[in-house]
This record gives sequence, C-alpha cells and structure tokens, in this order.
Amino acid sequence: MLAAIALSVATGILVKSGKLRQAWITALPLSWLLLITSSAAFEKLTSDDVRIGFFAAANDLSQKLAAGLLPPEKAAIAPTLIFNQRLDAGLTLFFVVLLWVIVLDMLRVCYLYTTGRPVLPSAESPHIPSRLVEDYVRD
Amino acid sequence: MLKKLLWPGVAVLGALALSTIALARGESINALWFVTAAVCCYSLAYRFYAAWIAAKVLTIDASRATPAERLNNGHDFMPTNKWVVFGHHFAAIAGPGPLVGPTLAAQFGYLPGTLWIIIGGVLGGCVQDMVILFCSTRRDAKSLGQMARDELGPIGGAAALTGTITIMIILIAVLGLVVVNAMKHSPWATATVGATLPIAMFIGLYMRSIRPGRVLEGSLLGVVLLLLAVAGGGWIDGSETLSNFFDRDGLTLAWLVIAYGFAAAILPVWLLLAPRDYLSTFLKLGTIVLLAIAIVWLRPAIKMPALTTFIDGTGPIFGGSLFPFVFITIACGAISGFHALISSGTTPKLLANERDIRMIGYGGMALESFVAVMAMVAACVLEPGVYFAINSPAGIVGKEAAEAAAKISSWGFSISAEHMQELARQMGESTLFARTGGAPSLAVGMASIFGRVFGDGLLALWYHFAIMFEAVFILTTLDAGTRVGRFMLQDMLGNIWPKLGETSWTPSVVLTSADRQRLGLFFVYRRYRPEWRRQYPVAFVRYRQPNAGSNRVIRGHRHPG
Repeated sequence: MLAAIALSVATGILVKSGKLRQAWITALPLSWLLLITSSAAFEKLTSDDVRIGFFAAANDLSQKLAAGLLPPEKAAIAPTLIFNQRLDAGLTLFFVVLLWVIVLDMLRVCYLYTTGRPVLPSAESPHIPSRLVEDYVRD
Repeated sequence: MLKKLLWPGVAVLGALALSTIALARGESINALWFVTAAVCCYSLAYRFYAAWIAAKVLTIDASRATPAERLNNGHDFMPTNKWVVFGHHFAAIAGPGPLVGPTLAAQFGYLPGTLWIIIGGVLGGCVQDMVILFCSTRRDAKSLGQMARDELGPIGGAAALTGTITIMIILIAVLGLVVVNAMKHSPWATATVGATLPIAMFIGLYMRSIRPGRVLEGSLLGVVLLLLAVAGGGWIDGSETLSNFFDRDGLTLAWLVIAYGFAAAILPVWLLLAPRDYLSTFLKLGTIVLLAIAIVWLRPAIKMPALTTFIDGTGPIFGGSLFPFVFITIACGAISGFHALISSGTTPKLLANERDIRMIGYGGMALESFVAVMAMVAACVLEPGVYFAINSPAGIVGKEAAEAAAKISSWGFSISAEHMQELARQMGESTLFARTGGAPSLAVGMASIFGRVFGDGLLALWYHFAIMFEAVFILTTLDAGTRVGRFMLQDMLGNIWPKLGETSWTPSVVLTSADRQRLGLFFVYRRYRPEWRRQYPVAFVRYRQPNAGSNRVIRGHRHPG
C-alpha cells in the first residue's frame, strides 16, 4: 500500500516532466498493486471466514464470549482481541481510502497536464554544476 | 567475441532456468535452478532495463550537484563514498521482510512465491526504489509525502503525508518488537549487536578523521572487527558468567533499543548510522553469498511441491487464497513501499553523484530480491512435513507433538513426532513444533544447508548463528527508519513553521526525534508492561497475530525489507 503511494507520486512526476510515453514503468506496477491491495482489503473486510475477515473474527469471538464458550484465560483477553480486530478493520479502510485519494489526485494532475491546463510547477531544484572532486584515495 | 556472446548467453541460461522452475512437474527440482534464474534475471535487468531507465526516462546527469553536495553540513547532508551509501541503503531496506515473507509464502508451494519475487522485483520494486531516489535527489532530498504535496497538490499531499507517517510509526513499533524478541534471552545476538555500535563509531571516525578517504582500509578493519564480534558473541554465549550479563529480558532491551534509535536519529550520520549499516551489509551479504555458494556446491533438491493444496485459502500458516495473499505476504523482496521512504530519506542526503542512482536504487533492491529467493530456497529444501510442523500454530494442529504430527501427515506431508524431537535436539532447542513467525524455520533451513557442508556436529551453532543474523538484519532497518521518520516529521512541520523544517536545526532535530521515539518505540515499551496492553492494544495485537495476511494488508507489508 505504501509502495502504491510511492508509485503514484513517481508516475505523477514522470508525466509532469513530459515523460508520458515512458510513464508505464511505474504505472504498470502501480496498477497491479492497486488490484492486489484493494482486493485483499476487500476480502479482509468482508470475508465470512474467521481466519480472513476482521469483522468475521470479531463477531465470532464476541458470540463465543457471550455464550460462555471460552475458557477463563481466553475470556479475559477476548475483549481486547475483539477491539483489535475492529481497529485493524478501521485502519485497513482508512489506508485504502487514503491510497485511492492519492491515486485519483495523481490522475487529476496527469489529466490537467496532458490537456495543457495549468498544474503546480515542478519542484525540481535548479541545475548547479557539481564541483565535487572525488577525494577518496584509491588504495 | 566472448563479450558479444556474454549477454545472449546469460539471457538463454536465465530463460532456461526460469522455465525449468515454472514447468518442472517431476519428482523434485534442484535448488541450483533457483540461484541460476535469479542471478541471470537480475543481472540482465540491471544491465539493460535499469540502464535504459537511467539514460532515457530519468536522464541522469552526472554533472549536476546533488543535495549532499549543495547542502553539505556534515550532519545530515554529506557526500559519501558510493559503496558506503550502497551499504547503508541496502542495510536499511533489507529488514526481516525478505527473510520471513518468502518463508511464510512457501505454504503455497515454491512456484508462486519465486515467480513473484523475481518478476515483481525486476519490474516493480527495483524501478520504484530507483525512481523515488532520483525524484528525491532532484528535490533537495525531500520525503515522499512532501514530494506529493509539492507536485500533486494539497489534497494528495495531505493524504500521502498522513499515510506515510502513520505507517512509519506502526512499522517502527513492529520492528522494535521483532528485534527485541530476537535478542531476548539470546546472549549471542545481544553481544554481537551491541559490539557493532562501538565498532561502527570507530570506523566512522577512522574514515573521516584518522585516515580520511581510505575507504578500503577502513572497510577491511571494520570487517575484521565485525567477524571478531560474531565469534566473540559465540564465545560469550558459551561462557557461564558473561552470558548471564548479556542475557537480558524484553523490558531492558526495549529501553536499550529506544536509546539506540534516538542516538542513531540525532547523531551526525557519518558517526553512527552510515558506518554501522555499511558494516552490517558485509555480514548480511557475506552470509547470503555463503548460502548461495553452499547451494551451488551441494545442489540440494527442493522438497516442497510447486503448488500445494493450500492455494485455495485453507493454509495452516495464514488464511487466504493464493490471489491476492501471496503478493501481500511477499511484499519486501518483490516490492516494498518502505524502500521508497529510505530512498527519499537518508540515502539522497548522502548520494555524491547522480550516476550512482542505478547502482544504489536498482542494484540494492535486486540484491535484496536475491536474498528473498535464497530464503525461499532455505524453506523449500526442508521436508515439507518439517516445514509445516515448525510454522503451523498450535491452535490449528494441536498442542501435543503426536497430535500435530498426525494432523500434518494427514495433509500428505508425512512427519513423525520422533523425527521432530531429534531435529530439535540437533538444533539445541527443546521443541520445534509451532515455532511460528518464519524465523525459526528459516534458521533450520539455513542450518541444514550449512550443516551438510561443514558437518552435522555444528548444526546447533549454525542454527543460533542464523537467529543472530536475523536480529542484525532488523536493527539496521529500525535505526534508519527512526531517522527517516524524523525527516518526515520535519518536512511536515515545515509546512506549518518553516524553521522546524530545516533538517539540521538542532532544536528541531531533538524535538522531532524525541516525538518520533515517543510515538513509535513507546509501543515497544508498552508491550512489556502487561497492564498497559489492555488500554493501548494496537501494538499488542500485532505481536499476538503471527498471521501474516491479516496485518500486511493494512500497511502493504508488516516486515519492511
């Protein structure tokens, strides 16, 4: 998911620097990551399998707790685990939404650029010739 | 003539090796094919694809001054020898991810994981690292979130800054936990990791002040000292009194790791962070190269099937079907966003010349991907029964050894409780059933490969060496991560009050590092205070769930690499 953010930024920068035709080098892995991240998040949120779905696991545990099926030591930590499953679900949703916001914003910028409308200027620092002499002794 | 034939030859050999891996359906396939396929693919991609990207897409300009030169302040920005930068970058990106991810994903069989590591690495991960390193180098070494803010606009920028910083906090917490757990009650790991700190500071001073510019000399000295530290750690492990001194519990180690992370984040980069990472790289790559040589020498057969029945999502190690969970489990090794944070954090502040972007960005990731292939091989040369016995949690296969062995055998991977007992005895452990998390099975795999080269008597030694090796891998990711976290927070606060955004302004450095520490490593500390767990369960649950799929989805990957 973080990789997808990075690739979105990279794709946006490539397009903005006039490299639309070569932007596939980051757009291709980006589309694949979007596909797997979104489908995995969808499964984790909606699956009925308690080993996959966060909500399924939380509900399963709370039902067992309510029915008194858990041994005492497990019952003691169960509320924490239930809360954690729901927290994980919330975080998953939060990150996936963030990701899509970035991707859509990147597509918006690319669309504006390719249709010749104004976009933010490139933040690239100006060219200053290097005066660095490699000072390592070749020993 | 020979030169002309070299690359076509490599291409043919690589294609042959890959197709053998993909199509072989016989009794077993030789591990040598994996090494061959990986080496050929990475070198071809580096020679042609990466060179094309560097020349045509990014238009690298070697005459252009980098941020390290323009903003050189001897603290954060500093032109550094390219091999030292490479070592730092590799050490920072290669966390436990490339070791653990492939080990867990081997439950689907060797094929999906291996193909994804090689293809994903060449087309995805390496390209990402290189392009982000380039973008950041051209933008005063700004962090990823800040680049999104400057190039896309306030909406995408705010989302990227929030996303990257949240993920970084969670990652530092998780890494802290993993490293503390790896060193807990392991005198060897604690002593060796501890010894790397003074060695690194000495080498840092040596290359800067005592004999400036003598990189080769300093490296040799450092490697010798490092090997002494590894051997010395083993000796301490065997000695009664000294091992007690280094045998620490989790809480003490958590405090030490917090203190170390803070120091690595605020001290001048040349003094602690860069030389320590650089030296660790020798240890990491040394071990992996040794493993590769051992595989070439022994040519062990892969015992795992190409695909197991668990691709339908019923796997014991983590739930979820082949698509999409194999790609989530192996994030580092194929493609990992954490690398983008390093590539837009510490590395561009050290890079002396743009022309090294290909070697550091693309080459560093290609090597890490190679590490992941090696981890996959180490998991797959184990008997599948042994592999599943070590990695399946007790909740799935049962607590009793006999019960677990019967359950695993019923899946068609025969294993007996006696065999596991014998293996545990050889490794110097009390039991190997349900040692989940990936690290123990990787250690058993590595130990069995090394054991066959150097004799079975040393199995326990190799096993503990492999465990120590994993601890070293993680700590270098943690320290660079903390420093990068500092840069990110500074960039973000710089949008509000520009003075705070000045990377090396001392009050800002101390403030943001402390804040970063408090947020991230605070979770680690908390893990060892049971009464806090209930109130702040976030970090606790990550530790409680060895289930790879569940947490990786959120952050893309749980173990950055």
